[in-house]
Amino acid sequence: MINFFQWVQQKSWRHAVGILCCFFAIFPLYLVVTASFSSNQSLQSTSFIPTSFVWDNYTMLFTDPKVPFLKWMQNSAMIAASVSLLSVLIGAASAFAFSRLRFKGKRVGLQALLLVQMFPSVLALSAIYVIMERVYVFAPEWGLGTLGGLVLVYLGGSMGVNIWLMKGFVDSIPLELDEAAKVDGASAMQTYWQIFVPLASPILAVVTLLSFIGLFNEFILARLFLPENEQRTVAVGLQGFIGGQYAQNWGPFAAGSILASIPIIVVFMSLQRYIIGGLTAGSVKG
Amino acid sequence: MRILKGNLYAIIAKVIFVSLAMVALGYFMMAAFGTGDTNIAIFLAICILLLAFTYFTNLSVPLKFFAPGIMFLGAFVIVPVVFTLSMAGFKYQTGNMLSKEDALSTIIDQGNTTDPEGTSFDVVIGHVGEKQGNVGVLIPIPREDESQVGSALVFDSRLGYYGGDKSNIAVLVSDVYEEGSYPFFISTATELVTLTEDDVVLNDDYVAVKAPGFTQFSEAESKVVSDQLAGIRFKYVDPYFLKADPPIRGNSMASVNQAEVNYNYFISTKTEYYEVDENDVTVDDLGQAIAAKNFTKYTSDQIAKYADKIGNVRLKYEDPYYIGIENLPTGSNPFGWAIVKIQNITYDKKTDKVTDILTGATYSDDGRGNYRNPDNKEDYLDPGWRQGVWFENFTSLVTEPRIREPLISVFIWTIVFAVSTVITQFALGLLVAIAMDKKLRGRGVYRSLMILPYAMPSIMSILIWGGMLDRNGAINSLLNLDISWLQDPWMAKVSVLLVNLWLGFPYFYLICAGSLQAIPKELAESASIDGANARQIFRLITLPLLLRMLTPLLIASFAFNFNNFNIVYLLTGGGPKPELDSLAGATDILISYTYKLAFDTTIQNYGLASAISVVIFVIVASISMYGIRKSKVLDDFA
Repeated sequence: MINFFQWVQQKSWRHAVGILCCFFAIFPLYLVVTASFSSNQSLQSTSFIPTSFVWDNYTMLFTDPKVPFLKWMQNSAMIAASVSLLSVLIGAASAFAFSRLRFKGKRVGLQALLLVQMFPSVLALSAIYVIMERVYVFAPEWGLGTLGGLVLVYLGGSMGVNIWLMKGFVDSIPLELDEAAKVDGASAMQTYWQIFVPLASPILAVVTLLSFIGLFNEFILARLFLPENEQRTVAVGLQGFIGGQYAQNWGPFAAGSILASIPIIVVFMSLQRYIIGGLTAGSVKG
Repeated sequence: MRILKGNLYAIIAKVIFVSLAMVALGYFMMAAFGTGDTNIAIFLAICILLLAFTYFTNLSVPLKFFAPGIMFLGAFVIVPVVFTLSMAGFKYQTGNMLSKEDALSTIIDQGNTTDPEGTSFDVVIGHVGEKQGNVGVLIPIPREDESQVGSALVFDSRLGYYGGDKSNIAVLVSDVYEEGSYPFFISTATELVTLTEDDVVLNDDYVAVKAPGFTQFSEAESKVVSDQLAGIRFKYVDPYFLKADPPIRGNSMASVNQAEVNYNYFISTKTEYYEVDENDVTVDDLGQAIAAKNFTKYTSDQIAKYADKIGNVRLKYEDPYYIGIENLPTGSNPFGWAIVKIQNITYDKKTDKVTDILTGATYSDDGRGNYRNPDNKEDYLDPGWRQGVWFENFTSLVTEPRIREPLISVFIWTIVFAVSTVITQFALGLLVAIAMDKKLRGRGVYRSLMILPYAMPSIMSILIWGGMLDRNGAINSLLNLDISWLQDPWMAKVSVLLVNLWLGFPYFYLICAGSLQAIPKELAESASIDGANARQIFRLITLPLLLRMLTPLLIASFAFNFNNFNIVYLLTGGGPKPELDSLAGATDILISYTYKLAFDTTIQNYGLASAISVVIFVIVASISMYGIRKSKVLDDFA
């Protein structure tokens, strides 16, 4: 043991950890890739080297009329894009107010916002369901079973997280500029639109993307809300391939997962520096 | 920098935008009001007032920034959460889902039954009078008439009994007219005994008066049985039968009869039940009634149009019974089918009691969300309603073994799961971060590969892991193992932790790598000058500093994993279950167990689920609040 930390200095140990952890990290992903090119409909490969190479699983996603994969992708993209844009647009104002304005009840408001986020939201499902069921009766285009309704519910749900996240980011923007504006006699609204929004726009863009990724990942509400095959989001649609007790089609599932994940992974990788910074600042300051 | 003051265009834009939003909300408010969703309408009205108050006055500047966010948060987070929380105070489960008024009206709607004889009719469905919507039925009730066949077929006969049994009424018939047929026979209700001339004793009119086994009734006896004669069909050649008249001076006339079906017609509407004269009824070629005076049969289009009304209408019958239409006519059957029913469940508003007039049982509000028979506790009416029970759902978590036992094991596993997840993710992340802390060939490649699990949409990776860990999945087949990763209770727990480690270690790697950079190098250098070895530096300097920096994140991660629904629900579904019928599985954490309690079973118990979510809420909120207070993130604004 005495020599342990001397050994630590050596690079071989570092490479060993790196290689092992990389293997752990990419092993399932490697299997998905091979499964997506396999003619076998299971995840039951018997060797690490693929035994077959076919494009069937990919072509099936685009040709089978029962699998409107492009429509699913489109639904997911549309829902995630509209919700993340709107929620940042609306939430940024609140984040600004929490970060820059002085007013009574600010501390209470922030605490309340946090507390509401703590509630296990899965359990409020039935209440949301009942409300949207009623909404469907008087506004059929915004109720249960419509993309519009799901967008509304997501908007409400993402508001708290996004306000909190943006407030964390925005706190790091130096105060001098808005102080100067105030001295010049600008109102809060003017400071917001003319100083804050241009300054914070890179941050708002990152939060929008984070929110987009999070929404792309949402499953439970989407499954409950949109039962029609044509309306499904990509996560719910793909789950259908393997959800059956007896018919599990891992091939198309793997192919679809890869296609759906690539844009997300690309966005994430290219923005990882900001994203990690945001996660730390947003949840709690270190 | 130029600051615009009171920009006219900005003001115009604001007025237009806010007004449009208010008009849209107002439109939905009226629509909601129209369909009776008063609560939603009131909520929308408050939103409109909030918008007007905020943007057309200058009363509160911060509110101008908060108003839109507050509206969405209120509608889709706060209202559902408050609703769910308040349900914890109610007995709210399958069978007790409605409000009391709705439950009562359902009980009364369903509180009918067929009459004891089970009377039913084939009916013609139509309308009475000119109004098409005035549903009525024409009921042909068959009646069996007996009609004499021809006038000649009447025989002289003697009334008596056969076989020595006085209740076995018989006639001794002399059919002397028709050649070739049996001239003499004895007929009872059940048998026909043919006789020859040699068997019988004839009188002067060539009528048989005595036969073997047959005893003629005396005049007094005849009088006694005379009343029964109308009801007796004496055997004859099918389908004919004989009817005997009471004897006059010893001779009874027996006539040949046949049965014939005729109908009595009745019309029943919501208000009336009356007989119509046969002559007022129109009959088609098949003898089926198609119309009557003042009654018009529905066409099939009209049937379809009024189907709901027809299905629900209660038509008059003899009190207290009524007629309900059960089946509509089909292509092959022109008649509908109606049955006689009785509203046996009645409600007395004054005493709030429900009575079943058939059994005589009285049901009263048991204070537990049901109408229950005080004489028989097992006897209650379905459905019940949501009944406020104060803290009963909470106390039952502790007092009822059926609820308590699974809850304790689920709670323990939730804590173990959340703590182990944080520790394993943090430990592996830190190990990698330390390993990658020095300049290393290929560090960028390692880093990119290792954060792939974090970048991939987690829904898909969890499902993929589920497939790999399947008994026939890749892990077993590649490694030549036969391990029930997801079917064995202990291995399932290990699997959940393993997959969660895979999902979360890259995050902690990135966080730890950043934090290690932030620890001043001078600290380690000066310590090493003072003679500390690498191990001491790590234990006494690096780790404490790191933990201090990352405690809030570790707590946040604990709180997140405490409610990590997706991994449990999508990987194992909470299973495996110890027994087939148990609700809690080996890997169920509180949130997934509660979800099952509320949505996944045949008896959905929202009340209990809400009570558990309150408990979860309190635990997670206090842990998080502790973490936040510790990180002092809110103190900046104190």
